[in-house]
Formats: sequence, C-alpha cells, structure tokens
Amino acid sequence: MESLDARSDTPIIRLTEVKKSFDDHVVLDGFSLKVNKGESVVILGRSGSGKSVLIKCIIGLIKADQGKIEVMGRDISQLDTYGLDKMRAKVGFLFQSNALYDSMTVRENLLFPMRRHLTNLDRRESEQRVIEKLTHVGLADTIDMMPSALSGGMKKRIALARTLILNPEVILYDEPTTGLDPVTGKEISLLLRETQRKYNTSSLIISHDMKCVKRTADRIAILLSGKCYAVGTYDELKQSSDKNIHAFFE
Amino acid sequence: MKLPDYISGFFEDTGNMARFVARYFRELFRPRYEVRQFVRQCYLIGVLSFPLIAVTGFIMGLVLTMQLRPSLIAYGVESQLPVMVGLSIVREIGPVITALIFAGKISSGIGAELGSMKVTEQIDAMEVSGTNPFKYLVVTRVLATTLMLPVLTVLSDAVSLYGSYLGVNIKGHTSLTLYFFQVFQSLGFGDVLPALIKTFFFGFAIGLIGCYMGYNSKKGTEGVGRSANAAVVVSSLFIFIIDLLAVQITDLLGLN
Repeated sequence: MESLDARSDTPIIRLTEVKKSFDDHVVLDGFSLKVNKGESVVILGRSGSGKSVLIKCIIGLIKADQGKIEVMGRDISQLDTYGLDKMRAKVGFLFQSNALYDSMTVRENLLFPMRRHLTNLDRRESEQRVIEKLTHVGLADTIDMMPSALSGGMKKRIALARTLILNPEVILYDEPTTGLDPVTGKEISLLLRETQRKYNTSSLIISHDMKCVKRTADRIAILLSGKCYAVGTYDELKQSSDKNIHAFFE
Repeated sequence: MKLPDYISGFFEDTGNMARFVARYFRELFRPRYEVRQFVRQCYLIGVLSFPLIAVTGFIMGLVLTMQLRPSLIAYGVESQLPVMVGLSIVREIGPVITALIFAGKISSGIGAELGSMKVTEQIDAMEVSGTNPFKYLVVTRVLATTLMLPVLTVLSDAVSLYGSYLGVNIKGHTSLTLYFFQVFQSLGFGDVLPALIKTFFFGFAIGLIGCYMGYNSKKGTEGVGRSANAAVVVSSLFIFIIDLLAVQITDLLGLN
C-alpha cells in the first residue's frame, strides 16, 4: 500500500498532556498522542468522552487549557490568526454534520476555501480543481446542485471533496460514518482509505463505528477518562484482556 | 450572596453584547474587507425589502390621511391635511414603522440564518477554511442594515406621501404639485435630518441584534427558533428605546 510506504516516524501531530475542562467538567485530562506522517490513527471513545473536543483543539476551534499541541512541528498555542490560517490551509477538517454552506451550490462550497488560500489560481484552474475533487468522490455531476438536494452520503462525499480542495497534508475526520446506513458507511470508509492513498495524507479519525475503525485505522488510540488509555493496532487491541479495551470490540 | 439566575443572566448578556459591539467596530476597520459579500447583503437586505416596505408605506399614508381628515374637518383645518400627514410621516411614523417592518423581516431572518449556521457547524467550517466568519457574516450584515434602512425609509416616506395624496383625492381634489408643495413647505431641516439620522441607529441595532442572537445560538434547532424570535422582540424594543433617546436629544438641541 502506498500510504504505508509513505509512512515515517516524523510526527505530523503531537499532543502532549492536553487538558480541557468546561466549568467543573473535565473533558481532557492530560491526553498525549503522536500521529506520524502518512499514518491513519483512529481515536476511539464512548459518546461524550471528549473526542470531538480533542480534534477541535487540534484545529484551534477550541483552546486547550493546558498541554502542548504541535501540528507539523508548530505549537498552535503560539500561532497568531495569520499563522493559524496558514496551518489550517494544510489541515483538512471533515465535520460530523458535514457543515456544507446551505446558501451555496456544491461548486461554490468547494470554491469557498480557495478564495482565501489559492488566490493565484485563475477561474479555469479553480474550476478544474473543483471538478477533480468531485470526480474523486464520484459526484462530478452534482456541481450545480444545492446541498439540500443531496442525500446524507452525498453530502459527506461533497464535504470530503471540500476538505481536499486545498490539498491538505493531514485530515481530521469527526465521526465520518455517523448517521449513515451500513452500505454508505462502508463506501465512505473505503473512500477515506482511497483518499489517504491517492493524496498521501495523514489522517486522524474520531469514531465509535468499529467497522469504520477496522477499515481505516493503522493504529487506534482509546480515549478514556480524558486520557489516552491505550494505543495499538486493531488486532493488538482486540486481543487485549483489559475489560475497558475489550468493551469496544464486543 | 448569589444573584438570581435571571439577574446574573441579564448582566452576562449585556456584557456579551458589549463585547460583540466592540468586536464589530474592531473588525469593521481591519482588512480584509468582504466587499462582494457586503454588496450581496445590501441587495438581499435592502433591495429585496423594498416591495414590502413600499406596500406598508403606501397603506400607512392612505390610512393616516383618511383617519385624520374627519378630525381636521371638525376643527375647520382640512386644508392643513398635507402638512399634518407630511410632518407625521417624515418625523416619526415613517422611520419607526419602516424600522419595525424591517426588524420583522430582516432581524428574524438574520437570527435564524446565523443560528442555523451555528448549530450545523457552518460557522466553524468557515473559520477552518481561513475566512473570518465574524467579518464575513456579521460585519457585512450589520453594515448593510445600517446603510439600507435610511434609504428604505426615504423611499417609504415618498410612497407614503403618495398614498396620502391619493387619500386626499378620495373625497376632495388636490393636484400632485400643490399637495407636495404644501408638504415640503411645512418641512424644515430639523424635521428631516434627525429623523434620517435615527434610522442609521435603528438599522445598526436591527442588524447587530439579529447577528448577536444568531451567532450565539445554542441548543440545536430549538435554539434557532428562539434566536429568530428574540431577534425580532429585542430589536423592536430597541427601536422604541432609540426613538425615545432621539426625541430627547433633538429636544435638547432645539430641533423639535
């Protein structure tokens, strides 16, 4: 597999003792993890365990209370707005709710991130890139449609195309198969793998869908009580005798 | 001693609103400027509101004239009907009614639109894609409402006066030239300017409250409905508060 060949020990994301609380509720209590270049890591955890908070901290949508978050070698707490924007151009984010702009067509949704980061492209080049990404997700014919006219699976694919539009080096996926039927969920999981292979991206995937986890993960990190409880491959963790780990595989 | 929730909530909302206003002015003057989005909002907020504003303005002028006529006849001053209607519309009724209609249409729309964008993570998506959502969504809308409401008020006043002219001619006969000559002869600088200036503040309040409610929407789709509702109620209340302050200020300046 190309993605495996491209993998290295160079960390593209490094989380060190990350802590986050909302009022008295401690969500992350010293979470540490390293994601290497070209690698696909899944963070597995129960609902409400703080998985989404964790990736929103990585992209800078939520500020961590303590700890260090390094993305491509840069500590994001030290970045100003400009630096954060530059970092975000290299980090794609696929939202759980897809977050497609309702008032824009599919084309406009994909062009939107380019208007800020790829100002050097002319209209023809921008259009070509939009078509290329839509072709990758198999939905080139929806280019002039509004998001409201698309099914849940189609919206997820369009959201993935938008995430890919800036050719990110790393993509964060927030529960990519939640709310989809098993067949569409499988298609999306395979598409994530294909995307990683084709675009040579690293992935950090938040999920509790074990089928998706099995299909997409090189390594799995289990988030429990705000900490990284265990890290390993699917098979390693499945064979674990620890009841907290085993509970996910039953 | 712990304050009751509704009191602490009031102070919290006031503080958040003040921060929101401060951020608006900070972002307003800081590049990059979202000119295309601002022009689009002017079209959506201003141009598309004109038919509704014109219809309500026309009816307002017509009804006001028909209701004033019997009273003026009773006092033997029917000839002053254009003057009375002109002053009422330009000084008070035109700006306030236009602002209330505008608040009902625009503030609720902004509250619901931004609220829905908030709960479906579209605002977060905008931020992640390198666009400042506050500048793109809030600054453009508030600036558009601030600049479009005075324009709509002037147009509404004109349509109202035309409606009033038709009202005068239902039971009498006055030429259009004579009617407008009487109206404009009675209007002075102190009637037009303060009325126009306060509409900028009305527009600012309507846009800002709509954006604030939507941008801070919580609790999913239920929160979107609440934001839209609160945007109309609070901005309508603010229109009357600003109107009250405007009257006091013009009075102090000797413009009444």
